[in-house]
Amino acid sequence: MKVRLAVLFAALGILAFLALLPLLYMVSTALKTFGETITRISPNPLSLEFWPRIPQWVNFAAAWSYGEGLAHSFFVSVVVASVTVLGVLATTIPAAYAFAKIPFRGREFFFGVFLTTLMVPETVSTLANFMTITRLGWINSLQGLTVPFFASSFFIFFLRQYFRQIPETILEAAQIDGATTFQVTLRIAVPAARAPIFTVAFLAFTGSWNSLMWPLMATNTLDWRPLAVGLTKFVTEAGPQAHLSMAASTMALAPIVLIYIIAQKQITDSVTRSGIVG
Amino acid sequence: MSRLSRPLAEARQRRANREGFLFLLPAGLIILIFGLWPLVFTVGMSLFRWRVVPGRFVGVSHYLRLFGDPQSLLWIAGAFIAGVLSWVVVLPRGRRVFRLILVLAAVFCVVMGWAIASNTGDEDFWASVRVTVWYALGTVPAQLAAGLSVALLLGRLRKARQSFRVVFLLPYIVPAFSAAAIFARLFSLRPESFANQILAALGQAPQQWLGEAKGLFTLLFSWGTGSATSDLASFGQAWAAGPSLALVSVMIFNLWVFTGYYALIFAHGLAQIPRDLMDAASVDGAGPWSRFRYVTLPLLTPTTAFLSLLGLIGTFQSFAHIYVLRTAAAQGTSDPVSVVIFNTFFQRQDFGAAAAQAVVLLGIVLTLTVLQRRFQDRRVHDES
Amino acid sequence: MKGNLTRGLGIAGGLLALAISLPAQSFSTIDVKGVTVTYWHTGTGPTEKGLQSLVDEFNKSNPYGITVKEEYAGNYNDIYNKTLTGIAAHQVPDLVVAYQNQAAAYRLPKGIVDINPYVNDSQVGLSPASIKDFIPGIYESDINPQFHNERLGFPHQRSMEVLYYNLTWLKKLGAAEPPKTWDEFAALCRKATNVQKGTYGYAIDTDASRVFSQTISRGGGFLSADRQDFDLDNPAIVDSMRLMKQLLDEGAARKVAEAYGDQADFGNQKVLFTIGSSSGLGYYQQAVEHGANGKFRWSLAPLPHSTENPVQDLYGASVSITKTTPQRQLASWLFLKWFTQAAQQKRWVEISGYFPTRRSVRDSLGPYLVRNPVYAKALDILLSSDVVTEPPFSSYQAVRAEITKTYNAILDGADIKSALAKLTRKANQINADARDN
Repeated sequence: MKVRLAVLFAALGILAFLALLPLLYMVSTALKTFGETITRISPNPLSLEFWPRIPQWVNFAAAWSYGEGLAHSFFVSVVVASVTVLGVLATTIPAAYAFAKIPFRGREFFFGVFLTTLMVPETVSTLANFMTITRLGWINSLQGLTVPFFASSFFIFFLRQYFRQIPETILEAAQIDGATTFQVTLRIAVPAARAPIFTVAFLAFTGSWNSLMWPLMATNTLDWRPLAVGLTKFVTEAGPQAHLSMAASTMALAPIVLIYIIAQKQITDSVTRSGIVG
Repeated sequence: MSRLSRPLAEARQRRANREGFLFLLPAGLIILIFGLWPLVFTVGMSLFRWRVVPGRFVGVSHYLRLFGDPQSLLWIAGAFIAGVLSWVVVLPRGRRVFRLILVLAAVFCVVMGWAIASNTGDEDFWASVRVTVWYALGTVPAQLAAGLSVALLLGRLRKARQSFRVVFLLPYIVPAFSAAAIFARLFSLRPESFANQILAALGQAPQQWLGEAKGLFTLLFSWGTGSATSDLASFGQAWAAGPSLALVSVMIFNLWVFTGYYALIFAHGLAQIPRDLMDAASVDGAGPWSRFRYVTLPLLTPTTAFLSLLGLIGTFQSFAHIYVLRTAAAQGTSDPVSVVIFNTFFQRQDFGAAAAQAVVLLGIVLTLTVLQRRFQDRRVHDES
Repeated sequence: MKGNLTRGLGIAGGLLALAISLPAQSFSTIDVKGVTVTYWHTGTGPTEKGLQSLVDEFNKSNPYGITVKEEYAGNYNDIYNKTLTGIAAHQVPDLVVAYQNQAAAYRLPKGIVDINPYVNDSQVGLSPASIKDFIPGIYESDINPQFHNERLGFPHQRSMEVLYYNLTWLKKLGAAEPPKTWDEFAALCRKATNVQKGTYGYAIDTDASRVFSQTISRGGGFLSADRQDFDLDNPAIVDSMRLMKQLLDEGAARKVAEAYGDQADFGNQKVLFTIGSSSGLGYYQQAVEHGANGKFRWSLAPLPHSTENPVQDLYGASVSITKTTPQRQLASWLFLKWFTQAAQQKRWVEISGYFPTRRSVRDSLGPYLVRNPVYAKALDILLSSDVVTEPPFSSYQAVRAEITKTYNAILDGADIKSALAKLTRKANQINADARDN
């Protein structure tokens, strides 16, 4: 038994190391001086040259202030991503429930339509959406950055999967008790699918945080420039100064990791339970 | 009894329709405006000459240029007919062989049409379709398998599970171009790069990785070289060369990025499997592999089906995580259709042609989706 | 009676014809008070700050009541993508930086306007003396033959392809000066190559501008005789490709490994020569300062050439005025006119490190040139060489990508003549397609 656990840990350890290696590279570069980034290079984390001689923590402060507006962009991203998550949940949960549990006419048809919209390549939908946003006057605004992403067929289908698993008996029981479908959704389905819903929230947040092409098109000024755009600007500015761009990238990463760790508790707690009550 | 319950059933259906509509409305509205309208707009745009602003109406001219010799269109049409027939035809005594013949005929027609189009139509576009197919083949199964493996391994842990999960999700959280900047270094053509050091440890010569336009099979087995004269021969040669090493590097990158993501989704699927079923199986003496094969895997099929379907669609559409790793030296061998559409759009400012390419891509993905669902319908273990 | 009437009609008709043929508007009748215009640029960091202070000054001091808002809109590619999308959606800034071929791409859908009427206007335009002050090669570069010689942009900065060389190393190899011919260049590359030490002669960058600069240095170009189409398999290009392939095969030249890899290698004294834009000067300075084996003497020179005089590839984005309203267009021009005056040019050079577009600016740059001797040398090269600019066609953006692809294919072993013939065919097909809508 102990041996099996050890093997398990070893296997996971190796995989985790592979997952982390590029990020170790990112952090070690962020902590080097400029000179070290072009002279002291090694791909092997076990060798000394991979790591800086003296960690330059000052790089993080430098990146923060060098990149004008990075702080502002950071807060923009927090707001935009949060609003996006709220919007996603508001549209996705009812839609997923409808697809899963409400036998309305045309359900398969709409399912197909929603699925098809996933197949439109990003480039061309960006142009059409940009024209729509322009006509609505939503350039350089919160709405322009969030509303187009409020509904994703991917999340709807993902949640539908979990709503489908809820036994009909429970739902019928609640309906007999006089609950409206809306109340059933809110009081029974949502708590039962807490884990996937948190996952959807997390993925929606990350997707918004990292999205680049759309905010690049939809914003022109610093006012609503999210972090992803600010980061690319910074990287262009930094040019070959890899230590600064890596420092900025690391800082862009940190908030999501924190949020994930916090949300993680919720997700894992639900996931370890054997699924559905009853 | 039935005469009494019919009006009740109708009322119930009406109520269901109303509720369904209301529940779908918020999402539907957004998808209508930002998902469906672009689709309609794109189809419309593909019928015009459109250099940034609309020009004259040209009907299917863009599509004809895309396919080149009209013969290729005939072959594709033939493939459709054969395919539809193989689906629809009701066979006397259910002779399987006929269906198989029709399917093979469809495949043959696709190959012929594609080969002709590759040489007479938009070369770059059809080459990119091939790249996209390689990319899908190389990533979807690998990411599914890797994601499932990690999810299974994590499922057996109790304490360190949280930390490990974060670690595996980090690659997905990192912004694409930051991760790409790092990977470009790890997979650079320098002999000291990470990838080349591994090759050196295995006793192999350093490679150009992200800068290598030569196919994987050409490098390994020398396939796909030599001169070819006919359309079919050069088409076969292009395929025999395999995905370029640059594309393979991009696949590795995407495997790194998405494994944790797939593992997260699989974890939910695994959590759905009732503990008592697993316990019953162990009590019955089933070892871990048998439990996996006869309990886990079948019960996981809804998740697997969902992921492979959306993974397929996502892969064919994938842009950001591929574009960031483009190099000049790869000469377009790591450009899937999404990148070609992007370049037709911006580099050539030919919005009409780009729209036509997008519609053709959509047609391909739609066809594959339909095929995949059909395939799954025959094998999926449905939840009852 | 009838005669008088006919004469009267004739005079009236003549006057009418005269009135119609006169320019539709005089700029002096347009009121620009209170107009705000936006300017999309690529400036970041200190460059952006410098630009902001210049713009602030204009806003405070201009007598027209115009306000300019400058906005960082991404790098040149980003701005290009955004502007194209913007033209499609009728949402454009007023002023935008654009390379000549990008400006052509904007002009085709009538997204930008011809600047000549503004330049030549007696009230708001430039005086002949002011026009003469522009460096000739630069001033002509914004005239576009694809659009009846309209002026699609106005130049505020330029840079140039140069040869960067390690002087200390060069001297060690027995050469007192940078190579003047391609044969000398090749010989020095070979001498610099040492497999054990990991050193080599030239870092091959396959950007289309490198191909152009090498081609013109051999007296060739990219255009056909009638300057309407591309001619990309002429002897000058063939020779350039052949030499590079040869050096690569001998190990005397290597492909650039990653972004800024050539500068890093240069700074680490691994490579003797690189060819690149003069605007990269600052990065080279940094790379040398922090390089592995200590500092060394280095500089830049015109590319080796088989022509009598050095022929240099001059490039840079100009500023284009988008088609909006007569008021905003005029306001944009007035800012542009001020921005490109000698006094502001001097400050722009100090902020950005680019070359000025007016000759007279050189004289006022004294202290700056003393502080930056390598820049001073580059500026002198600009003023003394023959300068050529790259094709300003709207199709050039796509053709550049094809050129890079072909260059890489040749380096990988493709037959040079047939690869270039194929390239020419494709380039002309793209060009013909891009001519109309």
